[in-house]
Amino acid sequence: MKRWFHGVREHLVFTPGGRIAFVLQVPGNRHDVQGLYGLLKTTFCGHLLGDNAYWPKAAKREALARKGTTVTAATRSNWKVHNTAEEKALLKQWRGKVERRIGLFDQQFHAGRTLCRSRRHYEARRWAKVLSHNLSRHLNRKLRRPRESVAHFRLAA
Amino acid sequence: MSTIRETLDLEELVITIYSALDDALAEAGVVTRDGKLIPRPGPVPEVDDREVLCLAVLEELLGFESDHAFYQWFESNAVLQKLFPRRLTRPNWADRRALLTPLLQGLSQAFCALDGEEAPPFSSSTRIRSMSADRSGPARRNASEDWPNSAIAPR
Repeated sequence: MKRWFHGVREHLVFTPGGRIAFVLQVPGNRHDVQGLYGLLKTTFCGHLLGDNAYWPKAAKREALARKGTTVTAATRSNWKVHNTAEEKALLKQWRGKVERRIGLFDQQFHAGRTLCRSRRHYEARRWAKVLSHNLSRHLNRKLRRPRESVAHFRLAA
Repeated sequence: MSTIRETLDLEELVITIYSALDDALAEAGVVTRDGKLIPRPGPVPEVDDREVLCLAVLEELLGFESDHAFYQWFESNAVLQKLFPRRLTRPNWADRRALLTPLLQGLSQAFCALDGEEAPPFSSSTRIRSMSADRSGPARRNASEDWPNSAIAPR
């Protein structure tokens, strides 16, 4: 039996309430910002918060804005551009939460490794993981369970 | 008024998932025609697309890493045998799931809409200065334009 390993860099877009709004995969050897540029080829639009790796170059920033996607990314101290106090507060408020939700998704849905036969099956499984994530949060809200827990679903099996 | 249940059994879990998926399908405006959620040629499928979808979600929700492990558990489970009397072989089920990928995407977004998560609080009300056109205007040059081009080897 032959086995291959493909490195993939996955970009997750979370809503403030912790649902996954969009997922985008790029090859593992691409820079983070390529995930943002990849959104240009999708139907996704909205306002994104990210770390400084997601700072788009001017031409792409305009293209994204024309499509309805805007970005607030962290800046470095040696950059010429800096965020306003309002933007810094926004990033401080949300960045930690996003990192935590990425960690939870990874842990609860085995997002680090996906066993599959082909790219078609890979994409299907990744979206099935996303759907399960959103559905679990939806059910937890309806069943009045802890918002981000999946343990009670696993106990049922 | 609903009460908090201590435990949820497998049958209840499957029914809850199935009904939640039905809600999301209604939200996304997807209707079933002859057991197909995505229009495609061919005869009426033996197993409904909604059942395939439900099992795909169940696999991920219960944390199965491989399709093989999930299907072994699925085929040996008496409760699931009762709930899903008609079943596909594992490769056929995986193929049907791959066929439903656009729907999986649409339903994920439908759950965001169902939970009122469509519009983030900072999307339109907060003015983001870094997104205004003047910050990327023609006056600012790219620093790499000043670099000599000597690193490129002649052909």
